[in-house]
Amino acid sequence: MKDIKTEYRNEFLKRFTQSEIFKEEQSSFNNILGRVQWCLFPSATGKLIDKQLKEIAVTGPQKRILLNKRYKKLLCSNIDKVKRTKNLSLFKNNSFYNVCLPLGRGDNIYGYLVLSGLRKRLGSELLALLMSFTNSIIEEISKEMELSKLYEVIRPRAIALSTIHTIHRLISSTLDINELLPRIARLALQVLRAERAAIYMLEKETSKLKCAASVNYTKAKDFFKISQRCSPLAQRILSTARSILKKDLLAVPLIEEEDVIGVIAVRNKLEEKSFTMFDQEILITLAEQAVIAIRNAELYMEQQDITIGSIKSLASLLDLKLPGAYTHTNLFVELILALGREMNLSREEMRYLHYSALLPDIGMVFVPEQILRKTTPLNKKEFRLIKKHTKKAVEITRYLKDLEPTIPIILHHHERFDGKGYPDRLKGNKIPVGSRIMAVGDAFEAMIRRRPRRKPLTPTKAVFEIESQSGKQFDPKVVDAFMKLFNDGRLGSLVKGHKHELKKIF
Amino acid sequence: MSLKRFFKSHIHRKIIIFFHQNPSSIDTPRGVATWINYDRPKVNKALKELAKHKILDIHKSATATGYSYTRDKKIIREIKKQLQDI
Repeated sequence: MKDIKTEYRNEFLKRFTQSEIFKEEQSSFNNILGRVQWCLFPSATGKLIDKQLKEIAVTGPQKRILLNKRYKKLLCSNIDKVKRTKNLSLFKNNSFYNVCLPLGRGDNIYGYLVLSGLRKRLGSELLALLMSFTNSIIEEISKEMELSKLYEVIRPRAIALSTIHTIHRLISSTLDINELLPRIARLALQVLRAERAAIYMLEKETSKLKCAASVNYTKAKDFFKISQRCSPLAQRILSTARSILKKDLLAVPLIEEEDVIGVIAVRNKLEEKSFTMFDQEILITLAEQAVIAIRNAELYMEQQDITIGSIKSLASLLDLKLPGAYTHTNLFVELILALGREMNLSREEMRYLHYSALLPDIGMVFVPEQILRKTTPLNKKEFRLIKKHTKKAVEITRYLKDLEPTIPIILHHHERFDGKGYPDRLKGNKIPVGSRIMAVGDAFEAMIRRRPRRKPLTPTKAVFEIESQSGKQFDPKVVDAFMKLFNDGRLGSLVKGHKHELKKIF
Repeated sequence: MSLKRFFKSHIHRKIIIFFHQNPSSIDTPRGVATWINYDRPKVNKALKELAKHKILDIHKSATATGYSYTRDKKIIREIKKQLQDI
């Protein structure tokens, strides 16, 4: 088996003989010196020199000279001399002069360049020129090879680094844990070229691992196996915090500040290869990034839960004062969210829509209770007071930085699509989309809920009433989304599930 | 475009060869353009076409799009065959 040094030497000599500059050097010197035999010997070993001489003799012009026994002996001893001294050697064979040059840099000699059959002794100037040309070719090739080697070493590492960076960008851009974990599993699958992947997360309550995401476990039997809480190997990692590397399985712990919070496992490399230490390093790096992304997503969820909890507390407090006057039903909130999803709102838009749906009428707190309790129609002055509730809501919510994006939604949820609403008579798409959604939800809930001033409509009648107001009171796109919920039964399910709420009267 | 037609296109061929030689790689259009030394807009277009034909897998997030080599054994076999013929 060839070692790296032999390979390097062979590559060096190959590049040397193929070098255009060397060919030009040969041509120039041949013009000056006449018919000369140029030979490259990779080794100082007698046998190899002998073999090479015979090969050259088959095609070379100096057959008689090269196959001469005395010449061979002289050649071997001069190559040996050059090897020891690392300097050129001149020798004569019968009437012919010969030059032997080392090809190398510093202490490394990769071969010997021999010029044979010179009719005259080379003058010092020509000799210097020959050495100079040869050395510059050697320098050029050495640099080329160093760069080549560097490229071979650095390029795959640079590509791997770029992969890690891309993975980092892909997983850190989502704060939704339900989207994040399957994405991590898919990326692990791809980067390790494995057939299947699963992520187990530690349940705080039970201190046991549960499968949180899996990819390509298509058979029910396999899925059942991995969805069980105590996959033995995963549990082993939980207790030892050490990776497992087998031919067809690689599993590493997800560690956050010395605690194992989960395990990521991949099975069966494609093309029936085995997992390697390098694969393990890659998966550990991926796991480290995954932990940060998971933690961020969890913190984000906690923050959302705190905000929603605070809003719900406020809503409960207001409900104690006069039930149903300042808050809407859970049906309303769920309907608003269903409409938001149907209209493909972004995660951020959904978040603020949710907050807005919990407290749209908080401004009613400024309206005198007797007006809210009134069972007869409102007069103009009373209605003017009611209309101010949206702006009053802004006064309350503006102190809560987290609720800032909800302000426009709450402020404009009584605008009409045709511009005849309040407080600012906004029209069409100038009304924030959240407000347009809330308008439909608000009207539907008001129509089917028991109110002091009127009887409720049936849900179906309320639906058609809303449909008739498409383009007038309501945004046609929101009405379309609403009708989709009605036609496929989702609206009916929502109403059915919240019947008890609708029966309450405030 | 069938696989053979992709191999006739220089840029598509270069991308396929890159991913075939680096099957674990997941990279953005900018990254791939660097590795194959080509204009980013052309690479972006070619990557989308290859992903459309399932030669590459696409990974999208809000802020980044990454491409990786197909895991389909049939396509990989076909690509190997095409590379041998070159």
